[in-house]
Parts: sequence; structure tokens; C-alpha cells
Amino acid sequence: MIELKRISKWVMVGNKPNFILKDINLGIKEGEFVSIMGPSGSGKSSLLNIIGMLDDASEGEYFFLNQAVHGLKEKHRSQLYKQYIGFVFQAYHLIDELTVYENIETPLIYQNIKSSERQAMVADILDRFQIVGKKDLFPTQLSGGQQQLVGIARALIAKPKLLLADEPTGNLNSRQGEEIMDLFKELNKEGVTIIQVTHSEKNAGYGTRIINLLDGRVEL
Amino acid sequence: MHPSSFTFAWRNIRKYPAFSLINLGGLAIGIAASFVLLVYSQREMSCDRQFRDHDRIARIGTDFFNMGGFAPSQPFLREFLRASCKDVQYATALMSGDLMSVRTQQQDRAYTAIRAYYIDSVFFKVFSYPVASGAVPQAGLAPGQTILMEDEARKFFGSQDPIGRTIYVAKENQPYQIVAVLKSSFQKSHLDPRLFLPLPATAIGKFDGNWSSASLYNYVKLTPQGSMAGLQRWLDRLREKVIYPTSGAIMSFAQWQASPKNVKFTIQPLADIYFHSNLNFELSPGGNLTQVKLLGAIGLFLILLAIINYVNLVTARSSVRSREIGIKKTFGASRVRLGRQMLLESLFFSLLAMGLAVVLIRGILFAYKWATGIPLTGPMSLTPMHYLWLLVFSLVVGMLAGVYPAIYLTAFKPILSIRSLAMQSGKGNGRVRNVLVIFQFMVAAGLVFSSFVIYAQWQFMQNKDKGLSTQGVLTINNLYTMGKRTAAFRQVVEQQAQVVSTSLCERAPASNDIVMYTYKTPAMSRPMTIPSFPVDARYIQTLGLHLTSGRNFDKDLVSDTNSLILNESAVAALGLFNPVGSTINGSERVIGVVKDFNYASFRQKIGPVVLRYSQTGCMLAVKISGGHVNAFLDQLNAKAKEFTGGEPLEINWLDDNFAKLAEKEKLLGEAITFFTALAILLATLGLIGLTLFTIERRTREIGIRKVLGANVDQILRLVSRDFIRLAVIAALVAFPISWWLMNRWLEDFAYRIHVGVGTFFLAGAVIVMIAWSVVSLLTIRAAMANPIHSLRTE
Ligand SMILES: Nc1ncnc2c1ncn2[C@@H]1O[C@H](COP(=O)(O)OP(=O)(O)OP(=O)(O)O)[C@@H](O)[C@H]1O
Ligand SMILES: [Mg+2]
Repeated sequence: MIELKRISKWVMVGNKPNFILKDINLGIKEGEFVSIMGPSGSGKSSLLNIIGMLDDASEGEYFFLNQAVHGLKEKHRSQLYKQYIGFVFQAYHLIDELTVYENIETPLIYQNIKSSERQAMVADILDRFQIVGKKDLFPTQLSGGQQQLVGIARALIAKPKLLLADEPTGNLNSRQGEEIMDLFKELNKEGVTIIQVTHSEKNAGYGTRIINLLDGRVEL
Repeated sequence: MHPSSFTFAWRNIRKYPAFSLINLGGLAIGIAASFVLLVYSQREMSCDRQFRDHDRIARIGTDFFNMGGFAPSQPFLREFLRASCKDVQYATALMSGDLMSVRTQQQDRAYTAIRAYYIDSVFFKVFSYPVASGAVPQAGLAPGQTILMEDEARKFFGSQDPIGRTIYVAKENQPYQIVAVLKSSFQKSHLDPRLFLPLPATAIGKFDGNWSSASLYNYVKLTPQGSMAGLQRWLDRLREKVIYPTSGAIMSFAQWQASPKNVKFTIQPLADIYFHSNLNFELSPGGNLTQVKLLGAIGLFLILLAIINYVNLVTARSSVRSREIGIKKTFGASRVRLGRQMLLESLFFSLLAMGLAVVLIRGILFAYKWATGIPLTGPMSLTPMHYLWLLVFSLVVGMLAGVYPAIYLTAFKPILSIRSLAMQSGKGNGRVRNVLVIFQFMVAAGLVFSSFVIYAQWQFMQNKDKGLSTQGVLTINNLYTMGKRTAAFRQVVEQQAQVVSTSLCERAPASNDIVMYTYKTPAMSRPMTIPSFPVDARYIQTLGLHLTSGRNFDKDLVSDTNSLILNESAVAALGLFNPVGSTINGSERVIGVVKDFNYASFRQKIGPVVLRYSQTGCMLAVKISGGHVNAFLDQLNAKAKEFTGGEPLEINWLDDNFAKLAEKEKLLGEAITFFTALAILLATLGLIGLTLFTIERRTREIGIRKVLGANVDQILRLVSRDFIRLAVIAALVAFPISWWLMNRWLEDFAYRIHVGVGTFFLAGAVIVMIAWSVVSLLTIRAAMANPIHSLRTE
């Protein structure tokens, strides 16, 4: 599903390149549940952003479902990730001004899905996550765990093949974290490919593979 | 205080330079523009009130033959007033001279087109002009003495002392010695003196019993005990005991009062003349009260807009400020103390803005003059008094702008405001801000709409079918310089290749000329006074009037000396069914009818007009074709010299006459447009500030939405949607109000436009377009930015 070849990312400091990612070669198959680990500043988020097509690599090739992402125009790339990728963030990043329902609905609006269809899809996922009762609340009225649940529901609403999560349990207590991890495991069983960044060995244990990053390189 | 509020305010300015600059700029523009309008309105409204005891000064105008009233009145009225009116302390008669030339050396180049006021010995007892140098002679100007205004003295003599010097006046080079120079004042007056000369005794002349003349402007100053009512009673007695008897007493006094022979007087208190007098032969064009009121209202709106900007930007930033205030509160600062800090901050701001405004005031006045060609306030030299006003004004503005933020911001509960912030401030305060933004757009939309309407009316007046053709028609007005050689001059004119036709006449349309005759059909019990045009047989052709029935005058028919041509309104007014061939005044015969043509203001309906055959006109109307007008005029003037004895021809273009009729509307349109632009600028500044703030507040949201798949368009729409909604609501509220106001203004016109739906749409589109482009331009960077920057977790 994902094929990274000699991916590097650097920023210029003065006139010297400062490497954030260096020479990453990585293949991830459909149905995997991968955990990326590594010390702070090792480039985990940067790698995730590149996989999620939010950022470009400075060098190297990236194939997603056998399409050469590095050669795609901005428009096609955004088409691709809208269709196949969902994001979950450590800080949830829900929109404060929108209700739970509206937050979850938002990605569908940007995919030009009809209103009646949207209603059915949001109702389904509210039901599945058992948050129907909270649909009219605003994010600030929810606990952190509940907010993250909404964040995951929003990421899954468009039925992505790939779920990218950057420290999804970083702001949660351990009980809430476990619930989220159980959920991920379940989703993975249903066929969603998951790549998560985590600092916790325990959380990494939920996955099928662990990738260790150190100073922008993959540790073998 | 530690640090002082001002230091604190200063730090805040430096911390948020974009906000602060917009805030400061908006406040400064608001203060400057509304101050300019304040000074303008004050100057207009206090016209003539600078004269000492102005409430005891009045002008006496007259009317006879129902000619519509004259600002000047009988030359000998002064003598009657002095002799027997107990209420009057001083009566003075003033004569306004023709435009003439002034030289400082007999051989020098002349300063041309200067109008002299000829005054008697008590003129300065009535009008208290401050003296700049020299002294006004107690006994009045002796023959050969003159008094100048400061501006003229400077023009003639530069920095040299003018007292004792001689000027040479008119083409006879009559010498006058300067005895005094009067201060030029910032104050406005309906009198516009440039130089004063002694009134010759012949101007008053001997009393000849003729009360149907109006040549001198008679002003009186009442005694301290006197009253306007007393003066009125005296004038009533004068009419009954002196004037009525001169009519030979063939009718009773009551009959006489109802007849056209009747002589009437109007007393005009000095302060009323400028705005309310609309008589024939005014000394200067009157003021436009509508314009003063409208601009005054705009001034008020502008400062409101500026205050709203301030309030909006300060409260919009409250999520940031609330943190600071919350912390201060938890450490024990009282609400009063915090409120005082906010107030001091806004005062500090308004003082900074005032500094900027001092510069902007000059800029605005300069820009206004540049844009409209006419200065808004005459010579505007700001006095120290003005600066004091400006200071007070700015402080008041600062107070007003600071009150709401002081109350609003200090009301936060400390815990809440430390924690956050965006939530708490989001709702209620957002609503107040929305109302304020709507108000701003309302003002802008209303003004845009109004200026569209005023311009449309002006355009309409310019382009209306006037029933005559003004193009290429001019009148030569100083035929009197030619005496018997007028006919020969006319021949020379007609020989010019460009000349299509000429006509000798005594009156041009849309000019100041007045000719009235009375007309009576056999069916009428009482004669009717109708404006009349004594003209020759070529008038209809030269001015392009449309003859609808009958025939034109014929110079070869002797009988035509008693012939009349009526306009359609005159036919109706005289009640004629078969006008051509009917007899009027016993011996005069109607030979033709012309279509109604405009000859006076567009505010009134075209009234009855009679063309009378005459071969002895005082002016020559000339229709020319083709271009090269200047070359033509040069050539004409060269040829005319020999006839006029060297005087240049006095030429009026008919187009200019009509343009003058629409001048008030043009000026109003320009003034409103100018200040509308400023209002839009202010509203735009406010919008820029709010948009910047909104973007800052919504950066994270924009990032999230982009990650969720929103494209740049969708982000732009997201941010501008709210503002555009406000703009649309504002336009919807503003239009009925301004539609109603503009219709009231239009009601004054007999010939007017009707405001269509298109104007609404156009004005609405302008406002929405402005809102949309401002917001989009500012948002586009945020919308294009890569979301990972705004979503990075700290
Ligand atoms: N746009 C950028 N400009 C400069 N440096 C950057 C940029 N983005 C990331 N970096 C740097 O690259 C390195 C890797 O950053 P990254 O956010 O990927 O680390 P991380 O592994 O996710 O760390 P953490 O566990 O703290 O989230 C860091 O040193 C960071 O400072
Ligand atoms: Mg990270």
C-alpha cells in the first residue's frame, strides 16, 4: 500500500541542510497496524505528515496504492488523501464552534457528498461509537477521551483505507488510552490500515509492527 | 502605577502593530474628517453672526408688480428710515458695483474682475468689520478714499504697507487712496467685500415718487429698544400713508394691496439671509441647508464609525486581554482600577490619533479641493481656538471609545478569563460586535446609495430635454458699449463663417435677467404678471425653440410690434383654447405657440412665458457651429475692439447658465461622494482589523478544515461568509431608510428621477464587493498556508 524509497527531508539552516528525515525506505502493506516510536525530535511527526501527503519530502519517491505521489499535482494529491486517508491528532483538533455532529460531518462536506447520505453516514458512526447522546454538544463540553472519540469518528467517517494517528492517546489518562487502543485494534481487524505514533511501549504492543526512528533514520 | 498606564498602552501598541496601526489610523481619519465637517457646519451655520449685535441687523427687500421679490430696494428708502423710523438706529445703503479692473500703477497690468461695494458713512456702524491697519474714517469714506480687504491688499502690494497708497479703478483709472485695510476673516458672510468705495450721491438721487425701483441694498440696525415688529409696523404705515397715495388713489387701499401695482417689503434678519433668502439679485449665492445638514450628519457618522472600529478591535482582542486582566484581578486589582486603565488607554490612543489628525485635516481639505475644485471651508486657517476644540473633541471621542471596553473587559471572572477565553468572549460579545459591524456597513451602504441618487438626479438635470438647444449658444452682454453701432457689429458677427444665426434680445434662459409684463384676456377680471422675453425674429431659430403652432415674428410686418408668442404653459394659464389669433391687453395679438422650455431652476415647474417682439435688445445671442471655440472668440474679440472702445466682450455660454442652475446639486453630489469614500475607508479599516483578528483566531480551524479536505475556495468562503452576511443585512436595513430620505430630497424637484431597483442592487453590490474583496485578500494567505504549521502541537 505504501512504498517509501530513499525519502529524505531537510530544512536549510543558514546555508547548511539540516536533516529531519534521512534516507527512509519503508513498505507498509494493507491491513498492517504500525507503531512509529522514537525519542522526541526524531522525526516521527514529519514522517507521518509525508505519508499523509500534508507535506512533501525533499528527496525520494513515495508510492501510495501504486501511484507516484511525488509526481502528482496538488489537486490530485488532495483528491487521493481525501478519499483514502483519515487523521487523528494528539490535540484532537475539533472545531470549537461546531457541534459533535457537525464536526464529524465536515469531511463529507468537502467530499461533496449529498446531505441525505451524510446524515445516514454520521448517524451510523455516532451509533457505532455510542455517542448519539452527545451529538449536539460542543467539543468543550466533552472530556478528553470523548473528544478523541469524536476525532476518530471524524477520521473514519469517509471510510478511509488508512488511518494516521499522531500520539492519539498523548493527552488522555491510561484508562481512556486503553479504550482508544482497543478501538484501533477492532478497526484494524475490520481492515483499516493504521499507522500511529506513540511513546508508549504498551500502546505499541497493540500493533503488528514497530518502526523505531532515531535522528531521522529508521533503526533496524 | 507600575508600569504607568501609558507605558502599558505603548507596549500594547508595539506588541500588536497591525491592529494598533489600523486602530490608530481609523481613529485619526475619523477625528480629522468629522472635525473638518464640524468646522464646516459651524462656519456655515454661524454665517453673518460674527457681526456685533447681528440680531439687531436686518435687510429690507422689496417687491412690486409681483416680480418675485428683490434683495435690493428703493434707493431713497434710507432717507425715509432715517427721518421717521424710531426703531432704527442706523440705516445704510449699499451698492454692488460691476466687475472691474484695478491697477496699482496707471500703466500697470490690471487685476481684473473685482467687485466693489459702494458704501455710505454708517456702513461700518452697522457691520463691525475688524480693522487690520489704518483707520476707518468716522465720517465715512470721503470722495477718493477706499478701504481694502486684507487679501486684496496682499494681492496688490505684497508685504508692503498699503495705507496711503493709491489704486486706479476701472477703465477710467479713477484714483483712490487707501485709508484702511480690514481683516480677512475665517467667518462666513453673505457680504463678500473685496474693496469699498464711497457711495456717490447720485446713486440715491432725488426722491421722484417712483417706488418701483430696486437698486441699493438697504440694511438697518435697530436701536437697543427697537424691534423687527416695530420696523414692520413702520413699513406698513409707509405703504399706506406714503406709497399708496402715489398711485393716484383710483382704488381703495385694500384693492391696491391686491393689485400688481402694490409695493411690498420684506424684513430679513441678518442671520437668516444666507440660508433662507432666495430673492432676485442676491449679493452672493445663498447657502445650501440640505448640504450642511447632510454633511453634518455624515460627520457624526464618520466619528461613530471610528469609535466603533476602536471598540470592535479592542473587544475582539479581548481573548488576549482577558488573560492579562484576569491575572491582575486575581492579584487584587479592583474593577474600577482596571476600568480606569482601559479608559486611560483609549484616551492615550485618541491623543495619538489627534496628533495624526492634525496632519490629516490639511490632507483632507487639500484632497477635497483637488477632487471637487472648490474648497470646503473657504480659506481654512486653523486658529489656536480650533486646536483647543480639536483637543476637547479628541478627548471626548477617547472617552466614548473607552467606555464599553472598560465595562466589558473588566467584567470577566478572573478564573474563567485565565483559563479561556475564546469560548466566553465568543458569544455575547460577538453579537455586539456584529451589530456594530452591521451599523458600519449600513452607514456605508446608505451613503453609497445616496450619492448614486444625487448623481443620477444631477445627470438627469444635465441631460433633460430643455425644449431648447444650448449647444454652441452664447450671449454677448455688453452691447451698451457700442451705442448706435450695435447693428454694424451684428453684421460683422454674422459674417463669421462659424456663426449660424444671431438674435437681439433682452433675456437669456437660465440667467439673472428679469423682464415681467402683465397680461389680461377679455375673459379675465384681473391682469396676470408673466415672465417675458423681448426678442427679435431670429430668437426661436438661434435658441432652437420649437414652434408648435402659428408662426414666428416677421421683421417685415409692421403689425408684429404688437405680436406675442406664448409658451404652452402661458396658453393654459391664460385659459386660451384657440391661442393663435386671440387678443390680449386689448391690442396685442397671439401669433404663435412654442413648446415649454426651461429658463429657470429645475426645482420648479416650467411656468408661463411670453415672447414679445422687440428690435432693440441689450444682448446678442449667437449660435455657432463646429469646434475651435477659443480661436473663434479671439477673432471675435479682436473684431469687437473697434466697436466697444477697447473693452473685451462680456460673453456667457448658455451651457454655463444651465450648469450654474444645477451647481448646488453638483456640489452636494461631490461633497457626499467625497465623504462617502472616507466612510467606506473607515468601514474597510474596521473590516481589515476584524478580519485579521478572525484569521488569527481561526488559524487552527482553517488548518483542521484543510486537513479534512477543504480547498482554498472553501476556506475563503468560510471566512468571508459571515462578513458578507452582515453586509447584506446592513444593506437591507440601510436602503429603506436612505430611500425614504432621498425621496424627500427629490420631492423638491419638479423634474426628477425615480429611484429604481437597479440603484439598490448597484449600491448593494458595491458594498458586498468591498467586503468580499477585503476579506478574501486578507484570508488568502492563511487559506494557502500548509496546515501542519498551524496544527503542530506545542
Ligand atoms: N518546518 C520545520 N522547520 C524546521 N525544523 C523542523 C520543521 N519541522 C520539524 N522540524 C524539526 O525536525 C525535527 C523532527 O520534528 P518532529 O516534529 O517530526 O519530531 P517528533 O519525532 O514528532 O517529536 P515529538 O515526539 O516531540 O513529537 C525536530 O528537531 C524539529 O525541530
Ligand atoms: Mg511529533
